[in-house]
Amino acid sequence: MKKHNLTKRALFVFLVVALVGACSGLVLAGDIDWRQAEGTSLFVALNKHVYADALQQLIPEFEELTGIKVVSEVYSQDEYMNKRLVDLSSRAGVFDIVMMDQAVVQYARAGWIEPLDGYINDPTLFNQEAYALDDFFPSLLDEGTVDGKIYAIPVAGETQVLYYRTDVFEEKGIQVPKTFDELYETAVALNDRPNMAGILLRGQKIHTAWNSSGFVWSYGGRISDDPMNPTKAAFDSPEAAEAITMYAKLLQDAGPLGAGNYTWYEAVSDFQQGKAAMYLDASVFMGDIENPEKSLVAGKVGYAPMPAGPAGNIANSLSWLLSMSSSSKNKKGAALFLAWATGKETSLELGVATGVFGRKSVLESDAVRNKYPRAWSEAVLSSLEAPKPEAGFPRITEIDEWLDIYGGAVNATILGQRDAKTNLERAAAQMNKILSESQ
Amino acid sequence: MQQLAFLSPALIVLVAVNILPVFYTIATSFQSLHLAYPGRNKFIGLGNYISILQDSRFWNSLGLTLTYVAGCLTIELILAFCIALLLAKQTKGVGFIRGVLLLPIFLTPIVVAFLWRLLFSPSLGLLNYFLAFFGLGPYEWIYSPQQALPSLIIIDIWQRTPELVLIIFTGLLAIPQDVIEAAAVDGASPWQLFWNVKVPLIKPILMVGILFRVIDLSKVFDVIYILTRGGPGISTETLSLYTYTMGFSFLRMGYASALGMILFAIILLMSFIIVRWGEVDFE
Repeated sequence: MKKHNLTKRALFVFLVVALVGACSGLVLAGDIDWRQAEGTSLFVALNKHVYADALQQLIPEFEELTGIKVVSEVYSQDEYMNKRLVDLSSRAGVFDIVMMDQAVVQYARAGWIEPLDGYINDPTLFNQEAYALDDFFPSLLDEGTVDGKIYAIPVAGETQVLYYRTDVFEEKGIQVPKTFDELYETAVALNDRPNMAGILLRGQKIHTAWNSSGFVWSYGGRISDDPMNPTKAAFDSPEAAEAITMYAKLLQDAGPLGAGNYTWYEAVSDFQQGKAAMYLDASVFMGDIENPEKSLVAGKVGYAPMPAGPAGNIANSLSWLLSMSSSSKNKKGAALFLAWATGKETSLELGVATGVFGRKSVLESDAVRNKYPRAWSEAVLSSLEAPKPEAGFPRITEIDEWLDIYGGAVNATILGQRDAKTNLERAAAQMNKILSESQ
Repeated sequence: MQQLAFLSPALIVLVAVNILPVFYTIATSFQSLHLAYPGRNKFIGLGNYISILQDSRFWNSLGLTLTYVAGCLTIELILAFCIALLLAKQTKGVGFIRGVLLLPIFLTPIVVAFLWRLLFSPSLGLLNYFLAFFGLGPYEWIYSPQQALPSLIIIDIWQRTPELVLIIFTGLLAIPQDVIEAAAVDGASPWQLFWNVKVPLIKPILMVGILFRVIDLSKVFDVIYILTRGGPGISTETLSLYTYTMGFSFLRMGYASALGMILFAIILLMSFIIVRWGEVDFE
């Protein structure tokens, strides 16, 4: 009987300690009053992405922490872009939090999304120390910064890395290419179409724009004259022409059949099915490529940083970001959501679950390094090291026209319709006309 | 009065959803409206229409749209006649065959597009896989500027021919048997019987079918958007795709509205010709 009592007491003491511990943990995690918007509700609109799926799973934790009711909806990309445009431009205010991409400049300058500096600097909403804004990769944070203000916070960063088949490289005794010239030679040497293409790159018009920008920079070229406020196209330079010629040559001489309409969808499927020896694209596809349920090459993939051109290796990067709608009727709740979703702890949890990152601490954490290929995180860190001379997408409102015109020039070069120089010069003239009209 | 009261819910919806947007679009087509710069919007008269006439991308899209309509319609009509004539002779299992034929129509365009995307893949697709057994290919299908439009025409033929089959088949069944017998007694050859007797008799219903197909084909969007986005380059960018790009990607709503009005005018003109020439009687 006495013994039983003792156990009971021990259990009680343990519970008290645990409870106090948990509470103090909660307080330490953020000195802010998480329940200040209790009873309100939020609508979070997300684009289909591994990040979005993982975030949705964690949202009940936020609801419990804050007492805010969250409705979250994941849409397929095209549907999402339309819904976001309609809701924000009409100021309907259905969405409070939206996932943002390169359209951030357009949305920020049109006043559809809220500048976040005021919220981040408000100690009742963001605990500066715990939040550590300097933990974000600067190149990714820049993606969400427009005219000096933060409009969006990076949550799922990506950068260009080279995926290669370790088994094929070993069997043939080939070294991993470090420069674009080596990349070309290796790709041609490994090309064995239709069984296996030497290299995969995106070739579809709009899809080439981001990928080929990294080429242009690495060859010493620029996309536009002023990184912060472009007024003229600069991609009609000899350096850019050389870079785009290389991009097209890789696909023409060692790419898959039909590369001219390849988006990441085709490229990733081909690589998963072992139809290519190398693949140069965004780091985010590691998850799909290493997934043994979807991929025949899981475990046989090596990772290397972006190859170097005459001006070094400058990889492009981009990020999905989170923004707050200016028409939100619950801005306090939305700010709390941002503080929670992009804070260190949630970021780490999402990083471990899916491999996405916006913060350095996520990529450097043991949990992420142990779960995902070490070569991958090293390649990503190395690719993100070299500062980009410009934003991943030009900071202009007419971003979709740039994608269409500049991407169209790269695409035409891949399809062998005229040479890179002619295509780029024509595109630059078109782009300059649009930019001068928008001034 | 009571009739009007009963009709009013439908009328209100019709006006709000159909009529008002049409007038709004007409108004916008005379403005410079750019969605990202709403403050700069002004009336520019025929400015958008004049720019469109000088826009080579517009002419490209118009040419592609007409090629697409003509290509699909011609092949679908020939195939539909063949199938319907065979079906009219068939005595057993007509219902079953008809049901199977109709299956593709029931699929939503998104499903159709993804299905064909899998089939068309140059590296992993089933089409190239099977064609390889006959020593054919590999083809690039929607991934090459030359083959992309024909590939899209194949999809529409696969999905929409049954619609015409059904219409023609119904028309054939409705032909009075004595007319055919009379023609046969007069010594009409099978071809004469078909061309001079059957076709004229089913012409009214056939023309309605053609009318619907032309309207549908002219504004084709979903399947092309998902499969090629108008690519490679602009080799499959039909008029409605170009309109969409101008409006919802480039946010140039004024220009896009003018493009929309032109597409509307073209469809109206074609419909008018078909109705007139085909002597379609809607009464």
